[in-house]
Amino acid sequence: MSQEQLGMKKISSIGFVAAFGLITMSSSISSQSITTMNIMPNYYHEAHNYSLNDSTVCNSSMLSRQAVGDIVSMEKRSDFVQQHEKIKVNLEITKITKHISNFDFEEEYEEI
Amino acid sequence: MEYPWFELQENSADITQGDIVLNCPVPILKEFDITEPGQNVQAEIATIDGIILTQACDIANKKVDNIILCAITAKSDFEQIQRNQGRNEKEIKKNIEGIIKGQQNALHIINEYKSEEFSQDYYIINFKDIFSVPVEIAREIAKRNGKRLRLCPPYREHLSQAFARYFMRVGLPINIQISD
Repeated sequence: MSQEQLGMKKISSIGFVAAFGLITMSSSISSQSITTMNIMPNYYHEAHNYSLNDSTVCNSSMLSRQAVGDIVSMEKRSDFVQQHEKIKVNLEITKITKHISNFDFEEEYEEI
Repeated sequence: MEYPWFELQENSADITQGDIVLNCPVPILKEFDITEPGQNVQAEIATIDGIILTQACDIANKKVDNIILCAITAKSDFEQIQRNQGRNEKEIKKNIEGIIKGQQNALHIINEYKSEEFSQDYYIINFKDIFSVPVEIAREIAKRNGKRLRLCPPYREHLSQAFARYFMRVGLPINIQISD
């Protein structure tokens, strides 16, 4: 697994620092530690990285409410209304008929 | 537990998915070079019998300006059309059975209704025959219909599913051929 470090942004308005990192599994990791690293602010709200005495690594993270790539519902914010151009005209009705459907039967059909 | 096909409505302008609306006038334009306000445009009026396919929530929440109506044909009229096309009684019966089994993508059939105060034939719904009508026009026509029928769940959802299935078909350019 390649080692990767990302930029981190301190979210001062919330009052804590988000931290996340990927660490190569290695026998040299022997002490309990918290890794503080830079992180893409759009992806993680809070992240912690613990490395324990037995070299296991525990990562936890909490996604922010909104991240890049999320499909945001615009329904509550505004109603998109398609405006069509309209022209008022006078209809000259030449015929009034009862509509009759055309029925084309498909000989090959799909079993459901 | 009973699952009635229909609910009888009377003199009601309230409309929803599955409502049958009869004699709805729809203009069919006969000329298309329309540029000037006040211009005289030739048109024909087709009166259609239809069933509302617009989603109930869209109508209730006023999300739509127009209602989608799918043309419906009474079974007796459908049989006559088939006879006029040269089909015999055995073929007509086979075709209707095929519609009931869902073997015709574009067609769907709903049950008949019989009571002391109102009766209605089986109706065959044609998904190829679709009209758009302003909501207020649909409401007014529905009210003028007097006694009319509303398709109940789950038959309404079954119809909606069949409609969706018709429109979501995908034709493959190269289909699978299994050689022996």
